[in-house]
Amino acid sequence: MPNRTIKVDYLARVEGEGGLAIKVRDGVVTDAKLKIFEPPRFFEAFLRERSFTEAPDITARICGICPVAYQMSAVHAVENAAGVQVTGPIRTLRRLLYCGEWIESHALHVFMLHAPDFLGFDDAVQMAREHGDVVRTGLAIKKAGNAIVTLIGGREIHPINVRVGGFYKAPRKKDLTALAETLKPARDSVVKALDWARALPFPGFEVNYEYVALHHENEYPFNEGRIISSKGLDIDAVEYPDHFVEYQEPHSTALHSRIDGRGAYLVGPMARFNLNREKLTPMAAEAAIRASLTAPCNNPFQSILVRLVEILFSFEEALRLIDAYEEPDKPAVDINMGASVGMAATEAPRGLLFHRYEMDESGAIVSAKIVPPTSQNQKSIEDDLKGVAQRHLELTDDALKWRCEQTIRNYDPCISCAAHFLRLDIDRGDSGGAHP
Amino acid sequence: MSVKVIGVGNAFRRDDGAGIAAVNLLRERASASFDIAVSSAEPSELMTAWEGADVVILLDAAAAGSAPGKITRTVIGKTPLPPDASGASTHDLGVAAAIALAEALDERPETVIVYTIEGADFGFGEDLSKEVVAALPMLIDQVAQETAKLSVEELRHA
Repeated sequence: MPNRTIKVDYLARVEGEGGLAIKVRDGVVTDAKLKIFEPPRFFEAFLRERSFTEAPDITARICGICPVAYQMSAVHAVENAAGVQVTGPIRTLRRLLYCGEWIESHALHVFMLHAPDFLGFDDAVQMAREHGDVVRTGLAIKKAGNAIVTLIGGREIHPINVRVGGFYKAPRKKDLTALAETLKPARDSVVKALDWARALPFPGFEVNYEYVALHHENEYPFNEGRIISSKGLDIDAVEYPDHFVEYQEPHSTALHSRIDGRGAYLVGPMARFNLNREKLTPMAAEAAIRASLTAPCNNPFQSILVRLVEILFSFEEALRLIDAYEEPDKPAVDINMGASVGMAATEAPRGLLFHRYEMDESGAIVSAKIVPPTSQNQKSIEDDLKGVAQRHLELTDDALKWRCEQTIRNYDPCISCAAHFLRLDIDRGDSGGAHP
Repeated sequence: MSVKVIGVGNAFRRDDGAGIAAVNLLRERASASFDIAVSSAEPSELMTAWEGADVVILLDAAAAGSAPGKITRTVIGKTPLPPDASGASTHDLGVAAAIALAEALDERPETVIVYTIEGADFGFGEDLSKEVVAALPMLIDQVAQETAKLSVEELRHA
């Protein structure tokens, strides 16, 4: 097979900016690099010398898609340092807020960013012309997620109501009950959307990932649980630095991550589903079966189905939490901070998000460490690209570019959390004209 | 007839916040004849913001390569929009994408008028450039006249 060079300057429909290069020599994909060249954003440095109380609001600004995840990992890590475990209605509200963010984030990705790949459209606008009902459904689902985040968080993006220890203000039960009524039709529309999505054409591609996700005894995980993996890892979040190694690659300004002694791993919806599927609600579990999602799901192209199952779960969980909610006496518990170290991981829409903070005796942050899910998935993204490109070398350059972009979007990468712009170069050596 | 004026942009990217600054000024002198809102121009957010309005007036920054401070009025469907400053956002989607999506879904308000101010600086920060600051009073005068005219037309129809 000849060598050839394929180059795509810009990849759309991902959050953020980065680059990619694939090298093909004599018909063999010899290299696939996700090039992340955005200058470091220095958030960990911004946090130094700030009060521990500022961690949730500063880190929320890392991402406009998943600010709740940053707020949740921050408050849990800081509370871990203070030796505080928040329970009761405040815990319920945190979980409910996370439901809203998963719905917002997953709906945006499934309907506006990922679905066009399967249907051959360049973007959601094109798709809307032929599949208007599907896009309308997606927008309505996202709006319902926005409503949850707005009510609990104060506004739909970068919520302002979250604080260490809880919230500035707890919502009234009657307001949540009214919200619940608006969630039910959106929940029901997810079931129909899954019926639609299961018929999408999924490229055949299976990977033996090491899945990593939180695992909780009684719940599908959002805020709490042990970090487990499909290859036997079972640790507390405070042990995370002992098992996961961040390292620098010359082609990326975002740190890569590997499991010490093993290598690449996968965080995100597929990892959560495969490790926690028995904790789904009956309706979500049944919908997964109807969508032919049998665990373990090892085809990353089917992640769109898993996201829909998680949206359905989030609606059901939100309705359950609202039903169980009782207004707290105080919206937050008091936190006394001294010199200490705290760590926590929560499940961002894109996967495990780890935070670690060290505070001095005044409560000022001495050092911070943040490991976002997209950084952790970089190596798996590169491995997938290598595998997908190798499997589809017979495609024309344009078709191969499309398939590679789709492969990247399987991850819903939030490159803004680590990068800024994605550029795709496929270098097939010097026979560039072979696949015009 | 329901009229809504929406300022779009990112107030932390200097002149990209021109539309938001304009609606804040409009609020100070607003009559009750129209609603005012602010949006990031993310399509679903903007479509929610203009829900129920017959006439939508969007105020946005432009990066069209013309003189900073230049005001352009575009009636959607009649003339193309000048390039916006969506490069300053992380989504690379702007007003044009939101309008296109609404059109594809047959959910575009009957009349959409976009006023843009050409920006000079889309760097990080909350301060507007002096050219944009100088042009803002003229922009809100034009918008106020536009909404007053719409009210008069409505009275005539009544």
